[in-house]
Amino acid sequence: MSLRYLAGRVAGMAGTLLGVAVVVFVVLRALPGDTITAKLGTQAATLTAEQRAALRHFYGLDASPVTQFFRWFGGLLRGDLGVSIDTGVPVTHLIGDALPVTVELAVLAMVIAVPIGVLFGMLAASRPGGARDFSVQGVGLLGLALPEFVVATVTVAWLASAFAYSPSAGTYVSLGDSFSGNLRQMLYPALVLAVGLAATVMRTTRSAYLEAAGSDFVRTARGKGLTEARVRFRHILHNAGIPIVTMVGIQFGYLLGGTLIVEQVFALPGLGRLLLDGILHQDYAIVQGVTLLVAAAFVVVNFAVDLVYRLLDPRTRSEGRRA
Amino acid sequence: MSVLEIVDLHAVVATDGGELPVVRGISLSIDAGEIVGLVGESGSGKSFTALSVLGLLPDGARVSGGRILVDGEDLLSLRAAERRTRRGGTVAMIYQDPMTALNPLMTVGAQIAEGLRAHGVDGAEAKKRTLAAIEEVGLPRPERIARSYPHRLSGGQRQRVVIASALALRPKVLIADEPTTALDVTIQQQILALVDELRVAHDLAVLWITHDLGVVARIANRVAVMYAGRIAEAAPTRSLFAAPQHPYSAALLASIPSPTDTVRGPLPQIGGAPPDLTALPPGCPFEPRCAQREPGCAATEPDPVHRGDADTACFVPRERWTTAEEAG
Repeated sequence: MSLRYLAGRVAGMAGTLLGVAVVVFVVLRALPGDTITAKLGTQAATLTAEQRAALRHFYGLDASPVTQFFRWFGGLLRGDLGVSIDTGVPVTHLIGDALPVTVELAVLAMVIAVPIGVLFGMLAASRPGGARDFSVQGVGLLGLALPEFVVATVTVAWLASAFAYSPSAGTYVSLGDSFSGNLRQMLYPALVLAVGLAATVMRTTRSAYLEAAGSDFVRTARGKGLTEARVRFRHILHNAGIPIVTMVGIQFGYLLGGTLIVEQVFALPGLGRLLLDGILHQDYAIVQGVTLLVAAAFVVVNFAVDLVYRLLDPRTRSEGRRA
Repeated sequence: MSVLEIVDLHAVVATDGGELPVVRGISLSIDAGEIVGLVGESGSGKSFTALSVLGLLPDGARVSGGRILVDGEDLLSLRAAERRTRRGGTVAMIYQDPMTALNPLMTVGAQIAEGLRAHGVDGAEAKKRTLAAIEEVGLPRPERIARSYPHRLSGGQRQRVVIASALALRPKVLIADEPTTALDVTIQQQILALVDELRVAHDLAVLWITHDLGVVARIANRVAVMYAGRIAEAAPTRSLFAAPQHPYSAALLASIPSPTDTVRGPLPQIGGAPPDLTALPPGCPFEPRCAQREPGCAATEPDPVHRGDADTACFVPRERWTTAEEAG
């Protein structure tokens, strides 16, 4: 991979993030409502105009939007995302606590869903129109159709009745505190997330696999006397890889953006809940910080997907002469 | 001594309306060092015959009768695992379109080597034989070719790679499914010459499938002309071109444009369309389109008879043909 390609990509990613920063900033300012009111609630009504002005000055809300943006952006460049107006805690700390939860949840859900989705996609495609294809597709459709909040609440209700498990009773146990304790908390939400994911991956795999399986080179591979397993994995699945990787990348990006419903139902302090709190309290710094982070995650995942393309497909690699 | 012997082969394909006969009793034998051309229109069953030999019929299709002997061993009686080892090992195939016949994501060397390894050749030996195979098909700098991906090679180079891959295990039978159709005329000639050279070098029995009688004239010792799932005529190439014994062969020959033709009229063509396999007539399947048909032709289907140098499935000998060499 050339240095020029890398430099171009990094510049493109930085540009995208700058655009996101501006848009988020502007949209937040355009929202109706008032930060001070949101922070103080009913007490806000008792404030005098002077007190309110003093508070606005204290939080830097009296400056022009342009000045506010550059203050925030300057901090951003120094790695300072500002302070939560609601709690007074630096946003970097809040994100530092929430990010590992979301990342772990996303990774766990992926680790569960991708192998299942790919395997069942192959299974369905190996005899299209057969009974196996029909049942796999039917279950997949169900997985896609069931809303996450239904799966999540039903799971919690079932866990509660079967194991007296209650997600909200315990406080969050991080991976560092206790590996098994953490896994006990994360496994079920990850499974809930994996339902829809596996179905999506299965459907993508099925269609990509079917298309690749019809290629001439697959007949060539069989004609060489290769085992069926080698034909399926080395030739067909490899060639079906690009659409699968693309789909997995997109899904992973979404997951990193926070899994609000699942976090809410399972009482996990992830990015989704942080963002929701930020929006409810009109806590600009939190919303800006989290949104930017989510955008950055998307951009990085996208870049990673492109790198995987280059690994998978030599045609997307270097130019150069013919042999 | 025939290496490949096909005896009364039948193949069917499943459709919504039941099983459709695609190959209806083909018998054909090829000696070591011999090239037999299998000629026919699309849908005549020639590709099905080839894929039956390889055991690679598409889903829904199957061999429903007959025997396929290679060196006396009936391939159809083998279990699946044994059958697999014969693919590439004793029977190999080269394909019509070299642009799509190779996996775009694997180097050419890896694709040849995996075939060797699938037949128990170990890694180092496979690598050595891969390079030797590439060299044998006349490609320069074999190491470099082996490291290349297909998209870096030209169509002619790719077809050479496909041939190298097919012959790497020294099979006895080579099935060539129109391997020159997708290539430029000059490259076609090179590939024809190459296959001919390799046939001599390795005493290969070659079944060359094509609809191009020009290619057949150039390369084949004998020709079998297929029509509606049966062999209409099988004859030495020279005899078939000099004096076809089946009106269908005659009609095919008449529709080849010749550069020496002085009259530039429209090319003769065979009127009508190939028969519908779902509703084959009781008589000769070519009868509705045949210029030489006689009243009895529509009643029963003719069995092959020996006439001249040929085996022909026709009731009407050449002497009785009304308009010789012409059809439709």
